[in-house]
Amino acid sequence: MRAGSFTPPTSSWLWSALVFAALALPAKVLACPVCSPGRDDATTQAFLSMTIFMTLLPLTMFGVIVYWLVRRVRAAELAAVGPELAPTTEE
Amino acid sequence: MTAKVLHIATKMPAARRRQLAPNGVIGMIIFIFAEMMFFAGFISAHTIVKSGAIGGWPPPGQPRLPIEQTAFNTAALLASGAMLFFAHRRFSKDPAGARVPMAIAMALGAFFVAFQGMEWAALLNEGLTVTSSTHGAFFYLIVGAHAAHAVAALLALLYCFVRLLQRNLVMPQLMAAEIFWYFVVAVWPLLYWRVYL
Repeated sequence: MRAGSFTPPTSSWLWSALVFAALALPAKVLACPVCSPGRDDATTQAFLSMTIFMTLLPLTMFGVIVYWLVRRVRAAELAAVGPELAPTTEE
Repeated sequence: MTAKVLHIATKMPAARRRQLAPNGVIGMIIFIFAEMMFFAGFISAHTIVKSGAIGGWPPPGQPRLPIEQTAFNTAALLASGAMLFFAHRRFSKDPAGARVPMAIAMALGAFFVAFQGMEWAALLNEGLTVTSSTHGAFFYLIVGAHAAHAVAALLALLYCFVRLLQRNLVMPQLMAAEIFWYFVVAVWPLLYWRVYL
């Protein structure tokens, strides 16, 4: 095997073990001690909603700034070539 | 179409180093991103603690927050943001014409901060302190952090206003201060919803 490469397992028993581990382990490795089942619904819901909020907020912010920069790049390119050379939609 | 695109490409300047946005604006946007996460952390912690509170929220024996008065104050802050937007539009056409709307925007912002200060004094007299409960701790932490940002943004606007009076204000400076103030204005309704309601 070449160093650094990954060869997927081919034997059926190994695949079975991986599938079993994927199905069985998540409940065992649940690391968060306060958002696990058994807590009251309001707290669990608050953890879930705030996790989603804190995850999506930076992604949304970066998405907005990238979109804004792309628009400014396009506007600058069109301004550089002049309006008579700007591509039209009819072609 | 392809030929036209190639034609455009050949007409492009060899070294395009045009600035897409002023440095001050980009710097302020990065700062605002960090501040948004700062407030998001507060809101997240507050929401989780509030959801797990035993005996309801606010905790028993703690004073209720002045919802109606703060709603009025929120309207003043939103009006301040609208006036600053109006000032920006005036500045781009006639810089001298931006003086009055900018002064009104700053006055409304100062009113918001002063009103918040009076509200704090009243709540302290009623027994809501940083150590009285988690409710008080979160209230003073979140609202206090916002008030600190409001004061800093007002100082930035004041700096711009002085430069406007001296006829030295340029658009990038105004935009950077504006972004800061718009952040203060935009984040407040969210804080009001989560902390007061």
